[in-house]
Amino acid sequence: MYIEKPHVGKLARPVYFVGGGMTDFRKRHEMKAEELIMQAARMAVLENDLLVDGVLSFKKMVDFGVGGQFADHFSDQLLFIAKAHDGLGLEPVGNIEVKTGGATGGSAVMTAVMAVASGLHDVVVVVGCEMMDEVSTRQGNNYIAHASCKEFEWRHGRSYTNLYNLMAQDYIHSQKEMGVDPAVVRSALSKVAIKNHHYARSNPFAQAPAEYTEEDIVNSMAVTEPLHILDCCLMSTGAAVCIIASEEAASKLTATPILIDGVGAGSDTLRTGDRLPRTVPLLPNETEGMYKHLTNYPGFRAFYSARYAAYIAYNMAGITDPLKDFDLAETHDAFTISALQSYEDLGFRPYGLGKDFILSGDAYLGGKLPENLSGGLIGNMHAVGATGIMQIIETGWQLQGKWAKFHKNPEIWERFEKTMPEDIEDLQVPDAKRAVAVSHAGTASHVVVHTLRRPT
Amino acid sequence: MKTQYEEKNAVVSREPLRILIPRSGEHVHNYGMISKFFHGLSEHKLLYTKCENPACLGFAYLPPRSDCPNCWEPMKWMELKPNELTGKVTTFSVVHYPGAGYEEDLARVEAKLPSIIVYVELPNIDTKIMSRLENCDPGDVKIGMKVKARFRQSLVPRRMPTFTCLDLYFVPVE
Repeated sequence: MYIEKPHVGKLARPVYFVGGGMTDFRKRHEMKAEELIMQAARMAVLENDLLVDGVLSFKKMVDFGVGGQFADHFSDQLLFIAKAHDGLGLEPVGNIEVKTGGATGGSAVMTAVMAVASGLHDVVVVVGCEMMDEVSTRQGNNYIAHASCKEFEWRHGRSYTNLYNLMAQDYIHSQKEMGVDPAVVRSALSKVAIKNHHYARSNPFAQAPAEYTEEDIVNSMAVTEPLHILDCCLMSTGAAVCIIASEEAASKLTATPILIDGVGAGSDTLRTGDRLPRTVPLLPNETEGMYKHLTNYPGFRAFYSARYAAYIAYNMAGITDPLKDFDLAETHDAFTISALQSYEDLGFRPYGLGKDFILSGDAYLGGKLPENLSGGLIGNMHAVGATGIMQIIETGWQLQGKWAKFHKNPEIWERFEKTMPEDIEDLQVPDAKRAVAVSHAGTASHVVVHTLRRPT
Repeated sequence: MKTQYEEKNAVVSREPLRILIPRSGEHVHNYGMISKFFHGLSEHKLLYTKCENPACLGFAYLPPRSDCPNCWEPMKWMELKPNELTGKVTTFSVVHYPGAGYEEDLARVEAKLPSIIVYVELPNIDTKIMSRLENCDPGDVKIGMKVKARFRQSLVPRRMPTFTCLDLYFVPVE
């Protein structure tokens, strides 16, 4: 399709994030899917200062459910949502299972937003889970690669790292043509991984807290070249649950409702090689003519669907400059290269300059737009169906000023059989008002962008 | 120690109790209207489809699709001519650690790890096709290098086609 100006719709009535809950994320859990969801749901309902009297009163208000897991292959359970939904005793209210690969969580939240905005439902419980511990890592990679074109691409390596590496090689090549030393790009990639593992150290939910050096990243196992194992997201098991509600219901549920003021979805061909040249939809902080030099856009370098989704969400929310307007971002760092690419698609830096977002310090707490303070997919988790929901919860908590309640809290660490580090960093963004969360599938076959705002 | 009973019933762990569920279901994959492409590979032909609708954009697709995604009209099957079988590498990836099953796949076509995956741009084709690069050291592959299509089946009688995308690969052009 040749739509160059995305249509910006509107939400027919305001929609709010009320609260959320998660399990900790690990390669292997002792619990099964519906038990993990129960644990996350208990946190969402019982630990988010809800104004209702316990689970039973809350459930009386729930009138819809949405949920998803990325791959039925992992859990060997089709119709997962039925078990998740009846595990929480939400029947007979209706539900929908959502499946958009890596963007499943974001799409599930979007479905809830649509349900509430339309006026059809008032309180929607969104659940997401992935059981990535029932097969070996190599089989897991093979299953995930089934989310690429079965006939023409899956068989070439059976690994998504390979698909992103094709983009990484092209990206580095294009940077070289711009006069950028590949070592600088490599350094930016490593810094993304270092940052996200580092922030994971202050997150009790996170699977892979660590302090790494650039040497550690490039000396870790080469899955491909240049993408090493520490450039890749985690394979996680765990669950996330959040509550989305109308204004009236949200005000009955919480003293700190967070407005979801923008939502945009975009798509692209499943095979990266099938993407035909397009013109760049300009974000509000960009100017006509600034991409005249861009040839072969989006090619293998950009995620057109991410730009398309951001265009819609930003315009809906009245964002004029993402770096100035947002106080934090949760992006989909499936690989270090996709983080750099996303910085450009989301307008954190112009196309070609994504590395400067991390190299300048903007991406860190204290910088212009702290990104993936949760640790993202590289340091925190990628229990795929839960990932996009995790992003909404982490950004939602930040805007509610509740980061410390869920992270700098020894009781939560102990619950997950961990000890809170003595040097835990306070990652609450001071006076955070606005945030963006980006959920992404395939090599950007689907992208969902949500913007969140603390009502004034 | 596992009891005999646990051993027999494929108990992986006792607490929580994890059991092995063998998976052996075979899947019959249907290539539908692009079957022609895979038959073509076994006949050393690289087939693609092109939109012939004058009102449409006239794009040529390789990998082929039976119908044009732009105008929804059926597309026309075409064959790349011998001089069109040479293209250039758009981007590449050297695979060291693949997903399960890839090494078995490579063995079917007498190839080994590390393997070089390339996206190739061919003359008069609007898309890029993913394939494998052979006869090339992983250190020598470069973006922009000229490569030529080769086909799996040869006159050696035992080299049968796999009827998968593995039947097509590329080699560097001197």
